[in-house]
Amino acid sequence: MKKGLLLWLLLAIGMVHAFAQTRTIKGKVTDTQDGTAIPGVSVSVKGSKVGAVSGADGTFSIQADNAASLIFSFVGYETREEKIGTRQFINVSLVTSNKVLNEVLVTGYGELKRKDVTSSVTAVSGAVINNRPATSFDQALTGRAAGVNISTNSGVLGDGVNIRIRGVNSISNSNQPLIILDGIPMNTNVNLNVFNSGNGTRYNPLADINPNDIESVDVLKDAAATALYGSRASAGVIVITTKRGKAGAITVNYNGYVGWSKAARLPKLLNGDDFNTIQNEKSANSTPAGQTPVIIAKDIDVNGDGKPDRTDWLKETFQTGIIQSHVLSLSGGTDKAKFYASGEYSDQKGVVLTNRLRRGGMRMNLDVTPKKWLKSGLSLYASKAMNNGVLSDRYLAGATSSSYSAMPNVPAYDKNGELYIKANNGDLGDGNNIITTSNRFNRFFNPLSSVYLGRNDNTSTRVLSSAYVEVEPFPGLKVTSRFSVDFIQNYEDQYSGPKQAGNGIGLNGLVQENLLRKNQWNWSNYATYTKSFNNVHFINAMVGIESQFAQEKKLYTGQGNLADSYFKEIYDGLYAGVENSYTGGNNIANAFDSYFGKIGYNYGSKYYFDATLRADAYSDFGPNNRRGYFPGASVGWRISEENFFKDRISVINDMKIRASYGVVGNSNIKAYAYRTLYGGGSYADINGFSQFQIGDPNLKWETSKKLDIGIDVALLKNRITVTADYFNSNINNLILDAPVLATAGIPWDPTGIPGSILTTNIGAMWNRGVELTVNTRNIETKDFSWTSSLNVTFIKNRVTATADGSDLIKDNNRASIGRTLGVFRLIEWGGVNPETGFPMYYNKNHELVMYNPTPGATDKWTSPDGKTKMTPISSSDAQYQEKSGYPTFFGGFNNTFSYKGIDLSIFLQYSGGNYVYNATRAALMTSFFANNLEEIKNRWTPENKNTDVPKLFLADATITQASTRWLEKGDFLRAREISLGYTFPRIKQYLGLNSLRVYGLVQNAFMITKYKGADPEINTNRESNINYGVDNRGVPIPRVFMLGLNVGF
Amino acid sequence: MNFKNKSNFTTKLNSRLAIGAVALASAVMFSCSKVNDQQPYAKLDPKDAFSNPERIGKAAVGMYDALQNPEFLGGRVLLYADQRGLDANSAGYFTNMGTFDMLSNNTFVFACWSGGYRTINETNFFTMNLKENEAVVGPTVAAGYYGEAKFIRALSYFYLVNTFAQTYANQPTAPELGVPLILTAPRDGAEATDPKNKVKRNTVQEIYDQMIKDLTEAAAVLPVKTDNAFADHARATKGAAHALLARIYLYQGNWAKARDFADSVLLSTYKYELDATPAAAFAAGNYQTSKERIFSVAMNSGDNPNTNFALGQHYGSNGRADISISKLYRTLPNFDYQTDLRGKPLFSYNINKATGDTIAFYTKKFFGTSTFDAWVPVIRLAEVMLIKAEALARLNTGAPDAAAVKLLNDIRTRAKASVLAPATQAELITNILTERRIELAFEGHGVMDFQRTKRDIPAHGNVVLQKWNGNYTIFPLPFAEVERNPNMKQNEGY
Repeated sequence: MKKGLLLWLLLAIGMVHAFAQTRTIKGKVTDTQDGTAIPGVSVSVKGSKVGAVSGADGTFSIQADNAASLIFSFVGYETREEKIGTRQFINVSLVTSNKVLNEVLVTGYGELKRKDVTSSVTAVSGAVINNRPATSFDQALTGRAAGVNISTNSGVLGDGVNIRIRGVNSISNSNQPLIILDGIPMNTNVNLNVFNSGNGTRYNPLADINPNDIESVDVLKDAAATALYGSRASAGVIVITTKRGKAGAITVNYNGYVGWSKAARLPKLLNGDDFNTIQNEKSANSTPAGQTPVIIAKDIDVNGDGKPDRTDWLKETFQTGIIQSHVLSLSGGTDKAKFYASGEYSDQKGVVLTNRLRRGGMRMNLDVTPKKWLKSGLSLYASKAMNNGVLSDRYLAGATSSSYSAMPNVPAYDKNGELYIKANNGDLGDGNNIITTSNRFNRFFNPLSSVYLGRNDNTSTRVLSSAYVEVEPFPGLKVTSRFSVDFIQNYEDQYSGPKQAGNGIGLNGLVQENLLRKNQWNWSNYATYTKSFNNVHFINAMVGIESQFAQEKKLYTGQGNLADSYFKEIYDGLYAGVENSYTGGNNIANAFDSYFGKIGYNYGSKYYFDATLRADAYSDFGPNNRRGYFPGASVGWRISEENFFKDRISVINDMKIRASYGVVGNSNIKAYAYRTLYGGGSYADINGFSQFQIGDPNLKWETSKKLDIGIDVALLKNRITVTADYFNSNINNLILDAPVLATAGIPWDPTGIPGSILTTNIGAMWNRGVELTVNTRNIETKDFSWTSSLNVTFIKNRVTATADGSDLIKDNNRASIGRTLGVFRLIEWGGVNPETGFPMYYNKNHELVMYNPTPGATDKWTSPDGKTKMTPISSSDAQYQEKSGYPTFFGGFNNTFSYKGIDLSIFLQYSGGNYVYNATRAALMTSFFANNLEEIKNRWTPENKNTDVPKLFLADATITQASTRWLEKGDFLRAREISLGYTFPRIKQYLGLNSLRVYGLVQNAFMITKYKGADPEINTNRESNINYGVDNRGVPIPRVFMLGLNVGF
Repeated sequence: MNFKNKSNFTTKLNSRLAIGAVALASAVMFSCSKVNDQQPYAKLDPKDAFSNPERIGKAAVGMYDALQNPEFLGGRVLLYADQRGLDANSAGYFTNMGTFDMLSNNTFVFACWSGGYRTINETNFFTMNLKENEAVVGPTVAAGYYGEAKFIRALSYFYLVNTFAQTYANQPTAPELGVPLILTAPRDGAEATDPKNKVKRNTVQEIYDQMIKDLTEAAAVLPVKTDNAFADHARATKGAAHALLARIYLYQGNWAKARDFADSVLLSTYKYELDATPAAAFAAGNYQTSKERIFSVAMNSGDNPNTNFALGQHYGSNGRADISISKLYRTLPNFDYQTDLRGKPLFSYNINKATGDTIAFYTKKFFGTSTFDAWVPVIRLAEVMLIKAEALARLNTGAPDAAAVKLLNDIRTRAKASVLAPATQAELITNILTERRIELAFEGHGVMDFQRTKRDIPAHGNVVLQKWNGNYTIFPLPFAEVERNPNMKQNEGY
């Protein structure tokens, strides 16, 4: 009945128009680039007010006569005019005028074009990730996206990367964003290795992904973009899309590179002669008057060549790393079936001796469309990586740290060519030096012994796969079901030889193995519906459910007292005493179930409104708070489409203002943290149970309320695009490993670090900032082009609540109310007294207090003139420095030049406003017997009174105690990447190849910084959010040179 | 829709299929939702840990696991006393400890304090749970467990109060601040963070009263001997409780009670006796057979596999070898280390290969089967004998007490040292105190023996003279703890 009426009405209108000699023209608007339909295109008859808009499927229908022309215009596309003539169907394709506006962003459970996005999302093209060395793909994102601060913890292969999206979002929890790879929520652990308390060889699961497979990375930053991920989204979400096949000829592509890497900056240490001078001066100055100073540093000639032995330990330990990578990819298909397949093998030798990471990966992405209404596909990825690790930074016996302190006046090898070590405990031989337990701070290790006498490997196997089915029962509705698996098997394998200091010698050889299997499956089902009304109201809606389960099992075995060191791989059929066999493991699991929905409305690409909601139930939330709700909403207004704007301001091609607000959570809680538990607690050989933890049954997610106000502008014929955002995140219910008074005595953090803790929701902080991205096409001629991309972020953080208002303390850093997270609290350094050479510190009343290290001095702490006795400087004299390890500004600046086939790209990364506690320098300026930095040569002497290095004394810890003396500015500008390439022209003609490109690349070519240490980006306390920005003998980020070849067949 | 590409029938079928599929998927998905049934496979609820007698027995063992805390009675707290004494060289590793200029944010200080209270908490938590589940084992068995809890608690308090507060001998002229007396345990997060945990320091007197109360009650129920050699040496026994009481009374200067409790041990039906040689008392094979070792914290290499904490690692020449024997020790009066069995036979050496010079001497007291698993000697018969000797020597004025001299010489004879014949009471006391240094070196008596006898620590090496009750002979309270708890008064001078 109704339909009949409508038909009649249409006919009637048609007749009226027929009288005006017009007729109905139909057609479809598509995108030139990918052939997809473009909805919302305004179609108008030239010179008249008649107009229409294309529908969701790109089709339109308009009344016009044969003589007229149709004008097709749309945001982000070149306007196009078509003469009608006699045609009844006019299909047009539009050319992008602004690439940025038309880039497709993969956001939660769907895709959107940039121009329709009202949340804050930054897209990074795979082009900056592919074909270059990086220990993990995220490293390549460094400096590329506004609001995203990425720092590489150290130059050791396999080490994790810290990703902070819009600042630090948690105090005790992980700050890693949720990473979604082709719909698979990935494991977010930064390090899955456990030996040496995780300080040994590190295994970062992100490094399992082949970076060359990545098509694009979308960083979702505000709550409107991330709320669909609910309780896992407070640190932001990174959505990775891998390459998929396109219809057309099958292409085969090979990319390979070789390169080498070197430690860019290493500490400058004393040579043997200076070492002797300095150590003996320490001894002489500490000898009471009237006694003969002991010569503590003396040369030795072990090899008998008549010359004193000298060893440059850094040269022994550090090497030139060789890198190579080969990737072969195939891609192609038909309209009904498309595929992308790749295989990769890479081999990186690190800058530290024997450090090597090899990885092989295979991928198959397949999409089939057997019916118009049915689409299905899968992504299969499997990889295996082997990391020959080295012990570094926090491990004093490790190759790097030990090489910093070892005496340069002893040999590396004895005269038999064996390592120069002591038989009784495996330490570095003393030579003729007089080393006592009192004059040394730590033992000395032969840096080569942990490298050559032991093994610190891990082998990871990874399967990251998903399959989906998408049904379109009628146009507009799509129902998708996706099942995904993230499987990790990691095998850690450590051997300490029977001559190796520590466990090796102590247990007469030790083989330890740890097998970890982590399996996570995720099943999501969702339906999306898009509909347009009158071709100006566009509605899209989505509802879905998702369920996830992850289980991690660990199996640990250890075997000491080896019958023969031959059995260092596996120990079987031999007896070593029950005392020397260890087994153990763990088994933890957690599960999510979630509901989510989204509704979006857009009026003629002019007004936008979007709202999302997710409900997450998670097994590690306390029973009193099992389910949380996470809403988000955003609005957008494209001013440039308003008539008052369009007609007047021609310099601006597009301008959109947007705002969003939402609530997201962080559910990275230690497994079972809400429970009070007993665990195994044996007493020698007797089995027992002891308390494992005290729990809080109210434990829940951290809540982050995020506001974002942004503007996107394209101007000067789209040659300049600008995106600017202001953001404000208020984070509440922070999960803190809240320190409980030690007198309460509850269990410690399971890592065994002293201090009772309770995992509970207490604490708050905020992050506020602005970020700006400017992309420009500066010069564009036929042969030459120059484009630039600049991004900058300013950020401020404040902690606003902690457990009972008191500070959370990690070494010299704190979380303190009213201050930035990780604020340093240190005794203030007062310099060196020029008269005495003694160090001075400021006490809490800001008076200078001088410390007299002279042995036997009765008044050690006095006024600078030495006359008034003063209270010793103590911890209570430490002051908040209002400085932290977190940068307050950072960004990147990229310039790309191309001339004919030559392309040159210079990418600078910068960061600043942060301070680094240079614990490396503090340790290497020690007054104990050990090698020192060359800086110590500038020590106070009666001839060199104006210096910052105090007079030398032996074995006095107070001279180098923690103070602002070691706190340095961390600002830097790094030439992160300089690349030069040449693409051969007319290659098909001569060689029958589709493409051929050769390129060279330098990473970390230079760095401008005032930081005295190796690299201000080093962060020794990798996973800690509080004592962030501490450089304690970390391995600096290497300088990498490489040459690559890219061939397309 | 302008382009119709399907019949209505197909559309309807497809949508029905889709809706059906989604409904089915949802049903399957949420029927297998695992959110509410995740169990910690490797851990158990307290209610499970106290559900049967065997498990309660294991929870009781857990108190000793807590006693093994590497930061405290796993050995460190003993080592700290000796770092501030004269017999061990100060180790660079324990910066500022041996030189008496620690800061209150010293990490060893915090760890030690934390370690002590962690152990105490385990005993209180166990006691609380056992009270609620006492019926599972019955009152008699429970009483034994309570006794063990009290013994461990008292033992922990002994080291806490003597490390962080002035010695009892500084009483009663000033009621010195001791350490907080914690006798209950928080049950859950809310109780752990309750403001009532911001406790004050109790006085030294109150701590001593509690230790005596705990040990007296424990001694009443603890066994003299079990049928298990491990338990006789590494778990609380009546002898261990009495020996500790003797030590505590000695620290209080209550000579009569010190003598009486020493006698309780000496006359115990367990029949403690000195091992054949000092080395035998420290031989790994004798930990469970020694008749001299009254109580030790047991260890195996699985307890403390790391290289940082074991006593054998610090004191042994084969491990970290941080702590060597001082010249002051080797040159003690009445101690010929070349012949005394506590000398050379108990020393190992670090020798310069080139010159053949001995660079350092190390003690062999902590040679386990490896450098990691030496048992921690808390109290042994030799100490009890010296306690009795000192008590007698001090009680009986006039001529040197003959029984005291005999006890002293019993110790010396066993070590093949010369027999002493002190002429005066003062000389006898001096001889006994010196003998304590020779015999009990590196067993955690170092600075504490000086403090309780009001002897200053003389200047040595780079260290200036420290008054016996000076500010820096005791540890500071951990800075973090004082900062967080305004009721916690810091020690003078820190």
